[in-house]
Amino acid sequence: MGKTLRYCFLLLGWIAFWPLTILSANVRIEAIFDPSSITLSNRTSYKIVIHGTQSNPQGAVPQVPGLVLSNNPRTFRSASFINGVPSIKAELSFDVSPQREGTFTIPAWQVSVDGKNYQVPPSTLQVLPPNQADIARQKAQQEQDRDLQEAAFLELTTERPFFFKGETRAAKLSLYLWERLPVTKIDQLPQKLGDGFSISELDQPEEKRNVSRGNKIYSVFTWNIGLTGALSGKHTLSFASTIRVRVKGSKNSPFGNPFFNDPFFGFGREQALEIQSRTYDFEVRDLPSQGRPADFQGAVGSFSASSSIDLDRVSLGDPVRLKFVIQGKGNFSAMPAPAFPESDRFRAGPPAFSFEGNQITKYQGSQSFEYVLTPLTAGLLEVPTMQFPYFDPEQEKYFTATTSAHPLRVDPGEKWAQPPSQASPEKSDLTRISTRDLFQTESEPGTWAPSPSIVHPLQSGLFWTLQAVGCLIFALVLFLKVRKKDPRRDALLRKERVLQGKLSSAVKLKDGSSFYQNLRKILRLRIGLVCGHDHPAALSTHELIGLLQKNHFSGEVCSETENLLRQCDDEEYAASSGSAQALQVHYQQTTALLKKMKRR
Amino acid sequence: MTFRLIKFLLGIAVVAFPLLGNEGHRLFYEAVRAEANGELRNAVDLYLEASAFGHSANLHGNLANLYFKLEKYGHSILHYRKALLLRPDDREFAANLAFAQEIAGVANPATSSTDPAFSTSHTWAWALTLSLFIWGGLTLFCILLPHRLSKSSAWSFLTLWIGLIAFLSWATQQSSLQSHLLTREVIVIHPQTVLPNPGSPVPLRRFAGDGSSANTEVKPGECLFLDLNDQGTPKSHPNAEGMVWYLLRSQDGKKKGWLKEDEFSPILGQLD
Repeated sequence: MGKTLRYCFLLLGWIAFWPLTILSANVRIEAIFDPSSITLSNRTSYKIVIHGTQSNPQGAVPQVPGLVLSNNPRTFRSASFINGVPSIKAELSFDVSPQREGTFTIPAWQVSVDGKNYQVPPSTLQVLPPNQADIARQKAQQEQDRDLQEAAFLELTTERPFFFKGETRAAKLSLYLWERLPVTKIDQLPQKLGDGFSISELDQPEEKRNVSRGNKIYSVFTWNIGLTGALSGKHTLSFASTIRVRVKGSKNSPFGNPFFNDPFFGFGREQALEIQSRTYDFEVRDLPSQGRPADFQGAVGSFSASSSIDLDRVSLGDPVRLKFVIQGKGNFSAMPAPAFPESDRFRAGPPAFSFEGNQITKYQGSQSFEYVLTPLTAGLLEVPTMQFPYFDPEQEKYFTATTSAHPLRVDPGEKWAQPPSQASPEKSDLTRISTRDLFQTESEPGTWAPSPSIVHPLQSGLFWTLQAVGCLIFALVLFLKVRKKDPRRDALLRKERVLQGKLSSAVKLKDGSSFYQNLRKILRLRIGLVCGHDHPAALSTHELIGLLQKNHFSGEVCSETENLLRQCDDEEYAASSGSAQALQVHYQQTTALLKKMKRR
Repeated sequence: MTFRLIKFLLGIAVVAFPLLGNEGHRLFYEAVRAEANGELRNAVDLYLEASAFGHSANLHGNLANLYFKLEKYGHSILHYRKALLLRPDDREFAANLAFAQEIAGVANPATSSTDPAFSTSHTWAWALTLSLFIWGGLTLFCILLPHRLSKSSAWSFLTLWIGLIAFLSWATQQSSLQSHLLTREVIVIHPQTVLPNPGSPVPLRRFAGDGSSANTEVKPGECLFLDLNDQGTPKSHPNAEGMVWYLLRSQDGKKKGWLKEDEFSPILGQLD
């Protein structure tokens, strides 16, 4: 029963909502300003309502001079029934700030929804002059800004009030914070306002405390920056930053300097405070055209150049590294690599860059360009001089830094031969490889990889397999070493080897006395080893045989051992020297007997 | 009958498998042709389609070039980084990346300022050298110590070995940290939606919502790092519309805020 009811509900639900899917075919677009009439100091919303779809639209809102639209719209999607009629829509809402009075119209524009283009209708906004309330608010704001300006401000220090276009100069940007201002943190680092200049990235600031200015004591944060003139003409430049201060949390005191009313600045809420520097006027002058070298590439500063090669003798086809170094002060961040002179004796690849000095300002230091040269012909060659033209802003003249040529001996390769027909393709290859040829399309895909991801060694089976192999080798060596390390046994075995040597030489020399003495010793030693007796030298023949029997040696071994030991006793006490044949026979018997004992 | 069926199936397999393997190649060549004909957007789509079958440095390099021509600098920088990941020593890609970053007004990412010796591409080399020195040193010590080394030589050997192991462990750790950082690194891109100016900065919001005010802004092409939670996964928040927001920050920690999933792309191409 319950299952049937569930199916009924599902069916009803589908019947109720299926028209929504059909609706997506009928797309209708509206565009309005809400409200459509505002005063200059207020904001409004530009809304685009797309009926009949909830898909993400694509397109670009036309820009209208005098209106500033927010970068990211707010998005709303809704589905509803109005008088039993289903309806779906998507709505995009941009914040709009007017910059001047007047009537503004955003013209009709195209938007793409689900791959189809639709037209967004034009919409109009009327911006009225500010009313009395706006003017009063502006005045209050100006007064507050004046007060705050003394509590926290930014100051730019430069050497001179004009730049040459492309010139980089070191400057200091200082943030002054009144010591009584309850600053909790610098929320946003100073940002540049003005288009005529570019600045380097801001590094960690230098901090100075108890700096007196006027009647106030400040903490000063100073950043060393590189300031570069980008556009010629007269420009204004200012900086803005945001700090976070703790303010009195009174609702009766709107942000009318709330912390000045609180003598302790202790408790309350945090609030962001925007700081702006005064506006500085700078002139960016064009570089003079008179005396400009033809190969000038925009380097402005005071420089010296040097070069070196890593080898002075190579074989044909081997690469040589040419290092070209520029030192001094100037616009290193915008410095292009000087072109290697065209030559039919060398082919040069694109250079590698490296800068030594302050990486943030890139104003003072040395810039290296490393070219990989390939000699194209054998003989005593000369790596040509390189020229680096630059404009010196202090002397206001162009100069050219020149390096010296480097002799290079190129030995002919064994298989190398320059076919005359290939001369022209070689040259075309030379022109193809260029530092400026940045966007060349590769016509072959190259090596494929499943993904650009990286496999960490600890997550790789291969790595752990290699560890296991290493560990296994170490364990094996350790095991062999431990097994071998038994000093008593090693000493006895060494002694046995020495005795065997003596026995053998006694047979050769037919020295019966020495032979039987050593024979007895070696038998005792062996019996001690195989029976685990520590002092076999102290045992008599009878005790030795008893020891063998105790350790379950065969009767044959026992009797042979007894015979040999008795023979030794007889020979020793009878002082007879055995014949050479007897010594040989006893030697062979002893060797066989020792082997039998060893096998046990 | 069965024999014929087996023959037929074998024939299909012989023809179909190479075709499947060459699909990426085919799409790549079609994209090159489309680009040559000036159909840049079509070429981009074809390259993206080819990347579903595999990745190559040239594919990402070409894609980055196309995005640059279309003035989508964020996407361009993203694909140059991918190309360099697949072929780290390619000077041309590195030069193009620097140029794209310069045009986009984006500073070089902080990861490039670390010593190249401890870069991600050297993690394996450091780890293998470390394990070689550990096991090799132990084995050599085991062989030499009992008889062939005097006490002073043994101490010198041990000190040198421990010093080398310490240095190699540190180097492996540094390289591993770079690898870990790379898994969290993303490039800011513009979403494929309505915007007044495609080159405008993307706001880093205070909260995970469209209506939230922004802490600060980032330019397309800037690199940020995903914040991780206690479980080691990115801090994220899905909203009612199914869009997921992620908390990101710059490497120096000065910029921090929430971005939608379509406003950035990880360099390694996956969000865990």
